[in-house]
Amino acid sequence: MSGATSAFSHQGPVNIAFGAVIVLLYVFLMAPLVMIVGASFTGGLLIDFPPQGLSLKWYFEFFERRDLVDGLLMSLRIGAITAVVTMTVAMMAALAGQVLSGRLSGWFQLGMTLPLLVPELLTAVGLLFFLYKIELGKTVVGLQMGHILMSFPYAYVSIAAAMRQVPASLEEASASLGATGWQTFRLVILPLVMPGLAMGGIFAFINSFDLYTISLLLKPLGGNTLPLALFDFLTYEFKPTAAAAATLSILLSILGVAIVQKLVGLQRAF
Amino acid sequence: MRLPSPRLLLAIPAIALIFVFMILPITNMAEMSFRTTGTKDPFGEDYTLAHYLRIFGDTYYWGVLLRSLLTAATVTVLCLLVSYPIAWHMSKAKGMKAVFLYACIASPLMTGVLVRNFGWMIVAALNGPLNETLMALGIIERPLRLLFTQGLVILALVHVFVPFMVLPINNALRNISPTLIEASTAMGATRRDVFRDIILPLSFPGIYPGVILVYVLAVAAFVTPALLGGQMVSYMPTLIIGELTGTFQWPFGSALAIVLSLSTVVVVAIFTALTAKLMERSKA
Amino acid sequence: MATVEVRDLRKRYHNFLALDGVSLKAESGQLVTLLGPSGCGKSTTLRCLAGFLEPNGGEITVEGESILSTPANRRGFGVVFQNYALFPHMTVAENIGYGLKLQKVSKSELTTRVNEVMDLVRLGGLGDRLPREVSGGQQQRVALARALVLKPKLLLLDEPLANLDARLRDEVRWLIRDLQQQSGITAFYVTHDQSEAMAMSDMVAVMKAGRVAQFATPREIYQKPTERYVADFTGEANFLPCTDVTPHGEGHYSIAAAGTTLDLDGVPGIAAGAPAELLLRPEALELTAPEAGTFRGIVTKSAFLGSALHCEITLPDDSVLKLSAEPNTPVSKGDTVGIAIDRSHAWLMPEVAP
Repeated sequence: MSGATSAFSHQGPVNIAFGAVIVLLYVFLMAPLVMIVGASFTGGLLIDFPPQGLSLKWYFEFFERRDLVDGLLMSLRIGAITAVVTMTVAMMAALAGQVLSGRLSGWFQLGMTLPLLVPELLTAVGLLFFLYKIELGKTVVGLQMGHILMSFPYAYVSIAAAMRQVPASLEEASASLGATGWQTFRLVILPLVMPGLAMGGIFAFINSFDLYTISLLLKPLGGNTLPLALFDFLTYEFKPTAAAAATLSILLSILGVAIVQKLVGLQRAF
Repeated sequence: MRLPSPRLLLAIPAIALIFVFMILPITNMAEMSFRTTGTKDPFGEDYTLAHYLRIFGDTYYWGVLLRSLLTAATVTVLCLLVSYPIAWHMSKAKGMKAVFLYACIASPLMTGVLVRNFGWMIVAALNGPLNETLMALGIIERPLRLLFTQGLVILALVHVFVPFMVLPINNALRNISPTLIEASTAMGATRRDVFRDIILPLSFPGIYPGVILVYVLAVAAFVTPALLGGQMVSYMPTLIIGELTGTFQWPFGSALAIVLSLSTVVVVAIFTALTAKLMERSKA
Repeated sequence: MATVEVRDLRKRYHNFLALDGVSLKAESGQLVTLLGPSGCGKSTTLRCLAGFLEPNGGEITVEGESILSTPANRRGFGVVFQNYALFPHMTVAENIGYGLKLQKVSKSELTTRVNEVMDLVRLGGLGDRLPREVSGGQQQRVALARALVLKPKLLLLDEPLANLDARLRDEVRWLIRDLQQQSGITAFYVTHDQSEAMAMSDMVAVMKAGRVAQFATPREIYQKPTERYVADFTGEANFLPCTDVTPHGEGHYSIAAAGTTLDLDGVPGIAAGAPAELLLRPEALELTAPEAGTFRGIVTKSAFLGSALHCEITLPDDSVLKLSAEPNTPVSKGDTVGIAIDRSHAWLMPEVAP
């Protein structure tokens, strides 16, 4: 029981009122997502909640729409590459960060999570100019780099946390038994941090999938990620197809949450 | 040990990533803000202070900046009011209940701003559930036009940022030792006393990072005002993006971005200075 | 099966001097203990030996050849850690066989050797368990087996028994010593427990603030300590300040203390008139009639402990001597008594700054 609230678990009417407020707040939190999922199954023609009848037709409609499907494919592709690259770079960085101590360690952590702390708008604007200067403006490569940058901290934080659980004595023991650095990594460290590594990849993927502002500024001509395609769609058409697309995104995040819970437990992750 | 451990070299890709693709670009952006407007290119060859002078000389821009800063402040305060009870409730939970609540916080966090804002479009639509409920309860007679209002933008921003505020506060609350509560109750403190004198101050190490993070992100929020605010209400981010992708006035756009960032830094610094003592005391 | 020598080892952390010239030596097959309180540099020395730390100065040689430039994973030493450092994701057998697997030993040979060493440390049948599924004492033996199976040149043990309860500590202590003697492996053993050090070692290095205060056999350390710190650390001790120190040949002195004069042995090289202390172990003291003792004093404390009567006697110069007497000795607080000393158990030490 948390210390802050354990002394007050037995006082009637105030608690009920408080409970009602809490429920309302959670409804507030979850409402938009529930609306989207519900609206995507509507049998009618409009986006509405509760939906008029249930139908899967808007999902079929979604897969008919070139622009949306292309967006989905590009998001998946970019997300996958982002996940793989950030996991690798973050694993290396976490190995390095582990041997730092004291203040240097704090600065390193700060540096690695910088893209989280600086607003996306700033980073996106800066990258727009920079990529233009190095002739990568409006290319898929440029866009990919932007995604890798923005998603990297998510991978790093997970992996670094997992690394911290591995006591230094395990690495020393492995060395004393004759292992090279690579062998120690492969046989001792990697198996032990695997859940954190996987979780880092998942967070990086999901984050990349959701990015908007940076994709807006860095996107190649004619290419769109799913969020970009969705935004455009919504500006001109307010049809349940959008809800279907968005539901896919929600499904992805729920899947992510489930996997994280399985791997590490949500409480530890957050 | 004279040479640094070779293992530190492993950090090079990460450091290069952050330095080349973030630090350099942002400093480059500062340089860009001093360039002249380009004719064929997005930016010109020479340097000038004209853009900054233009921003500070025009009340329109002052207005937009102030609106951004104040809206962000409103969002932050509302977000705190919403998040604190949720964090409180969550800090009490154990086992499966805790997992479920964390999932409720984590899944919005992982769905992305666009999708969540879209959800609000559905809720706030003329024929949407919010209007229907209000009319059914007899509170209003005709549906409210909520889309493209500042109110909806603020509501949606609060919604987006709740998880950022809930998580640190929840952690801070969980760190408060139960014996502190017991000791003060034994000395005769009422529920309100304990909350005001012990819990609230000691949760400050969670409130502070939440507030700073939400404020910084709220000032620079683009997607929400763009999708839900329409053309009627302008904020700095939409202005900036407009200059960059609409009119291709890169130097001016980046000057706006710099002004926005510096203003945010100033506000955060003032807030930090004002709350420094409280932060010092509650760090234990 | 190797002679290991540490010469004048130095290690500095930022502004803290952890090792200030440590020198000691282990002959082939000896178990040398580094004994001292936390912070004295014993673990630091061991880690330098293992190769986990790089010293700032000094030398470490094995069979006369320096190993300082050899990385930790090529020194061929076995290390047993205080927290065992067992790989949590590998079974007991996999843990023990890890080093052999790295050496690409054939599967059959690996299995044979692992089973052999598991029998040696009495872990038979536990090969498929995970470390968290076996007891603390068993984990300790897995750690030992894992080091021994590689037939290392040197065994390094860093407070291996610190995490075990008292009963287990005894058991495992003898296991370690027996194995070490049987296999003839040279070993360095770090501990803060003086009884462990005395019971197990061929040689003991008592360490103090980054230096070796005394390096000798357990018997010598106990009976002929070079300074108060060493005497204090290795057992109960009484110290009497002395004056009029007069040397008579190598290591023999006459002194004045608490109103009497004495002839006795001591640390060689104490100058005439130098400040010195008399070390009197409680077992060297006996209660007698006031006129019959070397010293006379008044009983200021007496406690019946069942198996002995613990007394504190205050002498004319206000120093206090503690001793244990037969439980039924008829003395009580306030009595004047005499204390007889067995001269061969008295020892003179120079007064050294702590």
